[in-house]
Amino acid sequence: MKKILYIIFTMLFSLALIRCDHFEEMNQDPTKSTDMDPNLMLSNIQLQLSGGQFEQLRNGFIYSGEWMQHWTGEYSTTEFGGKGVRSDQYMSALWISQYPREVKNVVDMVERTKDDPTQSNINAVSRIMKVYIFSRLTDLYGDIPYFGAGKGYYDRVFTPAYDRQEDIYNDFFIELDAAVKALDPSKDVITEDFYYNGDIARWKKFGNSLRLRLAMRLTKVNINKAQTEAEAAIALGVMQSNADMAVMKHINVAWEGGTFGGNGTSYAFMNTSTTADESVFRMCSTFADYMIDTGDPRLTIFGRSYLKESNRPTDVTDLVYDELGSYHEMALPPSTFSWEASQLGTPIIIDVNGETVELTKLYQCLQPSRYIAAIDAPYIMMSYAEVELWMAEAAFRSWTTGRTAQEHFSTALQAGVNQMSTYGAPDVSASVVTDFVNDNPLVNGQELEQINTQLWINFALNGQEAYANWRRSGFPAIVYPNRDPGVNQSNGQIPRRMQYPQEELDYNTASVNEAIQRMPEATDSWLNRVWWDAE
Amino acid sequence: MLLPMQLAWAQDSPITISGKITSADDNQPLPGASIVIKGTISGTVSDAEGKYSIKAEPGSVLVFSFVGMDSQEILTGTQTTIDVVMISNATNLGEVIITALGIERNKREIGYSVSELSGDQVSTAQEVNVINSLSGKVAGVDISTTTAGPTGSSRVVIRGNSSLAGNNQPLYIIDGVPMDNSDMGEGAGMWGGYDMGNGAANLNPNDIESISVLKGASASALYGARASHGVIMITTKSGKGQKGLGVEFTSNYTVEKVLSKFDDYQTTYGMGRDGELPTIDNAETTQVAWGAKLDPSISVPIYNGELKPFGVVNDNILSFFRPGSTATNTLSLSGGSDKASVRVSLSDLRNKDIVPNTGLQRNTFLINTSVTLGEKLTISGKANYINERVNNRPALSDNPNNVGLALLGIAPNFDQQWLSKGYKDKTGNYVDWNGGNIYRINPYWSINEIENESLKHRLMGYLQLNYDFTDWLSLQLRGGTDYTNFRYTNFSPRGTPTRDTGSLDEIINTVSENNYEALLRFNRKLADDLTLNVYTGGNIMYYRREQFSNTGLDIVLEDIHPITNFTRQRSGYAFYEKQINSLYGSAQLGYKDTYYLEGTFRNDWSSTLRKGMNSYFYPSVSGSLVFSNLLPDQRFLSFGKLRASWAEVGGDTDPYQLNLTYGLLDFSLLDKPLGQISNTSIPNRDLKPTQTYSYELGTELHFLDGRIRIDATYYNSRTVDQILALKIPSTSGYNAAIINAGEITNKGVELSLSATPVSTSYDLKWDVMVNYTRNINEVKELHEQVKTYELSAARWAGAVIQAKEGNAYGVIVGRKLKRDDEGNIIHNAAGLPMATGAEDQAVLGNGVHKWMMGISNTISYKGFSLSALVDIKVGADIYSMSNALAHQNGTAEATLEGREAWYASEEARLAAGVSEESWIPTGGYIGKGVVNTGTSDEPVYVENTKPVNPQDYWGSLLENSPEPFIYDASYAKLREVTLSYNIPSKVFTSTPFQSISVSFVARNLFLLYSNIPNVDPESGYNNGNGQGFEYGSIPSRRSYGLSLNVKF
Repeated sequence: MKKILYIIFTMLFSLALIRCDHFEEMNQDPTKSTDMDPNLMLSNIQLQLSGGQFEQLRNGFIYSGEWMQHWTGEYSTTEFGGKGVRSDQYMSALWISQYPREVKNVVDMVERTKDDPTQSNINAVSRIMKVYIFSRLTDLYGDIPYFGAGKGYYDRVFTPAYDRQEDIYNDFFIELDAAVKALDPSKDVITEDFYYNGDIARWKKFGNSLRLRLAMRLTKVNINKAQTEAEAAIALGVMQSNADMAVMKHINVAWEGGTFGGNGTSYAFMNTSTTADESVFRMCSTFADYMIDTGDPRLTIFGRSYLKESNRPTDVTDLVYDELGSYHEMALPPSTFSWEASQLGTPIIIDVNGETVELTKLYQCLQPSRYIAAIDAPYIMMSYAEVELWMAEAAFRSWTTGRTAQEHFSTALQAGVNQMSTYGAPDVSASVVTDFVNDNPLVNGQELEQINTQLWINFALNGQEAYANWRRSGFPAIVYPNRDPGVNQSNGQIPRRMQYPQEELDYNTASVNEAIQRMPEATDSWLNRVWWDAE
Repeated sequence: MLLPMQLAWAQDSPITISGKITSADDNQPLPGASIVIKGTISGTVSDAEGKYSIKAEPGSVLVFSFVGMDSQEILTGTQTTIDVVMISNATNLGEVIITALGIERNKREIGYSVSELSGDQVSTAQEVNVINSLSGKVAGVDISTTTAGPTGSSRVVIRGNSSLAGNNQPLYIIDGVPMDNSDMGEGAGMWGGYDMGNGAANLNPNDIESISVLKGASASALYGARASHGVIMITTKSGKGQKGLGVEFTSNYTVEKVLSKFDDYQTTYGMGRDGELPTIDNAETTQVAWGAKLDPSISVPIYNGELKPFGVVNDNILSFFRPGSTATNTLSLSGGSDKASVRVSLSDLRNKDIVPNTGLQRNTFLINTSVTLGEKLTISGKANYINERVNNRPALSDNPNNVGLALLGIAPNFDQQWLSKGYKDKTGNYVDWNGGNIYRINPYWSINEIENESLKHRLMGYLQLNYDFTDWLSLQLRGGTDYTNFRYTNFSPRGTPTRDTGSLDEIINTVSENNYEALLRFNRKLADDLTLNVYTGGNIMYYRREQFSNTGLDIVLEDIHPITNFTRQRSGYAFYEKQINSLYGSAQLGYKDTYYLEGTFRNDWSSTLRKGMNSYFYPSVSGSLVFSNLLPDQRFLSFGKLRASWAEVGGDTDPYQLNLTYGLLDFSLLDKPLGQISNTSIPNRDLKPTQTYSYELGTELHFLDGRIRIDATYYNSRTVDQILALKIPSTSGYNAAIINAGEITNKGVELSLSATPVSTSYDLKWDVMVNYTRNINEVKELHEQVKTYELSAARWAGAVIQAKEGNAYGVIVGRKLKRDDEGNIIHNAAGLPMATGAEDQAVLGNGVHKWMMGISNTISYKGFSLSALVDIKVGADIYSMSNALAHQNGTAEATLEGREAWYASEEARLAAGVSEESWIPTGGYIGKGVVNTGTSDEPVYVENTKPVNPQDYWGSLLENSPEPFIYDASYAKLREVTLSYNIPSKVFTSTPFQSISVSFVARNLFLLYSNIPNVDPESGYNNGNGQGFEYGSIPSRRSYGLSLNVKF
């Protein structure tokens, strides 16, 4: 019995020895770091910016894209964008995906590196990325939380105020200027960079080119500021060739609901499938017709007709064209459901490798080509052609660019065709490019229309940018088919912005209401214009 | 064999039998116990010393009964003395009950409310998940299940929701050792998921001796913060009291069938759009019933190109489900002596769910043993091993594999069986059946091609030493564990929509909770009338959860699916641990068996809070007065007690809430790692412990010798400084901020009335029990910056469930339809209803029931016993997205109105060659309500007369406001019916059998009352705090069958 007592007291004693000293250590998640190299976050931000099917479909295609009439046919794009029906779910997609993801991380990168001379390059790169991210947000929504956004941890601001777009734009220029000037090849190395592999010189050009894009946004609201900023950007050095383009690389991987490496635009085109037998989209006749008119060799690089087969293996574009004799017939009118295609044309019979195949109208139509809709297609964040088009407009406005508007325009057309090889499309022969350029000189009195319509072509896979520049420039002149007036919620017009997300009204009530008060009739309407979109 | 013996006895003359009846609780004699010869009216009653004497023929059966005690039946032989020790009946008064820390106490002493159920009450009409059997049986306890059925979890809330971030579920203690009740997966949310079941679901009902429910903070204060939502204490059967070898065999077999029906389903129009017959281009409108009028003489193409008649198909949806079945067999052996006891049980459960290919198999093994060495030392231990395999858990909510969602919109002309053939083409590819909606997979693909499987190994047990220093001082040391290993795989073959290259998800969870406890007990009579019990002890709780996850994409060999058969793999690892060290104690004073006072304290040190904040102390005090002892002896009020208690409980939080941390995504891209901040909530270094203050007042009254028993409680609790992840706008960068905030109050009453209106010596007995619970909840305060807390969201359907300042917990919030002053819905010029602006969010309902009632009646006659339980819950609302879609898809009956007129109008328009804009429709659906003919400032409302396409009307409704689809979720269910027959022991006297009983059992037999069409009001898709959403529910199940119990 003594033995047992001894055991009991030994156990009691050892219980007493267990103290709480190791609690601090125990409460540190062993799978997480407390100080991550910010370079590792850059790669993630770059992936997420073009890898998300969620916001690409909802904002890129359902609204912006459907209105810009590059592509149509898919159910929700026609039902909501095509008919002008509001959906908080779709309007809010970019906002609710990017604030807690890209914004959170880029703000953290900037905050953690801001006063550290050994991290000045990654700080500058972060600031350029931050401007890129916020510019897409403010262009779509208008006044948004900017200065206090993403600061929930650093400043404990849970409900950030809404900043005026003008103030945001002013800060964009300050930030880009400072960031570009801080970039220095002799300083810290940018290690995890998909766009430029850490090439500081090209980061500078990207920063300046972005500044040029944002400067051009202001032509309606503040032409002087637009000129000053555009000229400053050009003077500091913008992109000079297709090699300077900011391109995100993607891989062919099955979609799982978030960003996993594939191209978000392609997931949207292919209804998230890597092996789909067809795309759910068709080229819109507005887009096809303009390229037909200008003899644009990109037409059949953007769009191809395929048989409905696994992985769309059989390309029948030429056979269909031979039968119909018109690419216009191989496109769907804007705001059309794909199932309505059969009412718009009759089936044709073609001969495919000796087999007779009947093709309904739907399969006569051009689908997003295998090049641009491949899940591993690269995504062009900003192209050299775009930069030359901005400079063409700047030169047309007699701002200092160093070359004439025509020179910029020609260069832009050439670069625009050649950049299709980024997608792995076969090279367009130099003579075809030259003919295309020569056939499309700037025409007196139509320069702005030509330049901005080319920007619209350039943004065929970036509906949001096309939509922003359309609002600014008014080109191309798009006719919105108010196909279902009974359900239309936009007065039969293309709306001018996206409304604020429901969660802001629920959880950031005072701030968002302040922003709404600044709008016409104090109403958060998608018919209201953002600041730079002056009437 | 039996007959000659009975004849032999019948010839014997009666002999006199005498003896003494005592109570097992205190070895005191029991006066007034009744002794009846079974099957006769002759009997007697024991005297003041518990003695009795009766004349009986040898071979007759004597029935000994006493209020509050289990009746006993003893077969007489030639003996003339039969002493009987009566054991208290756990469900009745005067019993010894088990309170916190496993301390057995007489119920009369206790100053707070405790309810107890016997094992029979949860094992006769058993469920796969034993916790569901508590439903309606205990006042104050709200049990809800998910639409997942037998493989799913259940939600138990005691005395209302008080926590925003925690799960509001009670702590489970099994044989004194805390059990892990966590979910094995995240459950289903807005975008779908699977219910992986929770811990309490694994127990074998036949192993349960009793269940004690400690409801208030005073009862559970000694268990600390985890018990602040109450405690469910389960005691398993042991071999105690069994002399020699006892063998028991129990077998249950039940059949499960679909309970809910599609009772709002039109059978006039078929698949298609705009009143037109489906064409080959439009043949995938399987889930759209806006087509032409049904006409069985017409044939139309369906998704796979086949032609089918366009007529009504009866039972076209629910025929998908099969009859399910559950077979449970339990064998137990028990034995013991004065010094030792052991019980071993083995069980096997096989369940086939109503969802084809879904099933569960569970084996349990339990050994309970105790041995006393010498005089002072007792060693006891338990090991309970559970092995549970679940095949094809049903996907829930918005998961593309949810068969409920896929079946939901099927048009009346379409037989779901047509989906079973041709859902894949010759090369095995998925065939589109619903117009490219990849988020609703063909249900036959879901059940036949997609496979999920889980296997759980679980070990619960303890080792315990008790050492009695003296007869008033003893020490108990115990180490207990609950260890679970859970592996889950979900395989989708190539071609599965959204998983088109094939995928495998694999999760391995290892969860363990270990508790080491020391308890010193002091128990002494200080004076004749004064007793003192003191307990003091300490506990170390260590919890650990580890998760390995793997996702494989791009399958190589189609016929096998280990993770290595996928070219792309992503793996994850998560780890979570916490520790709480505690010291606690309790002192109870009793005076004259009439006055009782108890005080407790506990101090916790938690690893989840930072130094300086992580130690917190909390006390409780309770008292009771058995006032009937002060009254002169009288029959009317046989027992009366008042009780009162007050308690404070502190609480900690989850680990890793204090610091900002960074992690990598579980894949890299082109050899680059992808980093990010890993917190989705803003961390907070300065968290304080949460505090809950509560008090309760109660009374227990027994009238007419216990024939009528009333237990009433009023409680009031207030929780402050809650640690929670406050939903904040994502513009802050985060979805939530970890803060101390909020004040939530719950007050309510619990009434429990039991009565025995009839009890005759003819063995006829009628027992009634009624439980009533009313809880009033208010979210008093949240946070200075944010006034609402999101509990659950279905944003794609325009609603969220929130805790909102000034409202009751769990309100359903969304946009309302615009109405004029008279409450008429305002339509726009196009004739469609308008919703209020997005900024005007209104409370549309509440997902928590206001009151609940359980009514049970038991009638026993001779060996028969018939019992029925009706479970009533009233006052909650549910947003039925299934019904919203039924309207949008045109399957609801309301969508018929105006179709014919609209199609006629369209025909006339086309004949006239007029465009839609310039045509004035001659008919259609006319929205009920008004239209504004004035200005927005000076509105003039006149009745809306604009006919619209019903398809547009019902389509626009869901886009605008959830309001029309929020239903009253009140219901009354016939929850349980049992009819048991104890075969008289004389039938098998000379056999080894000691008792045999056979029962007909049924659960969830009928919905007696419900206000929701098509779905069962009990159709939540998860067990989380945000109750009140229903979407794509699998039909609820009714079960009935037989149960056999044999003792050797």
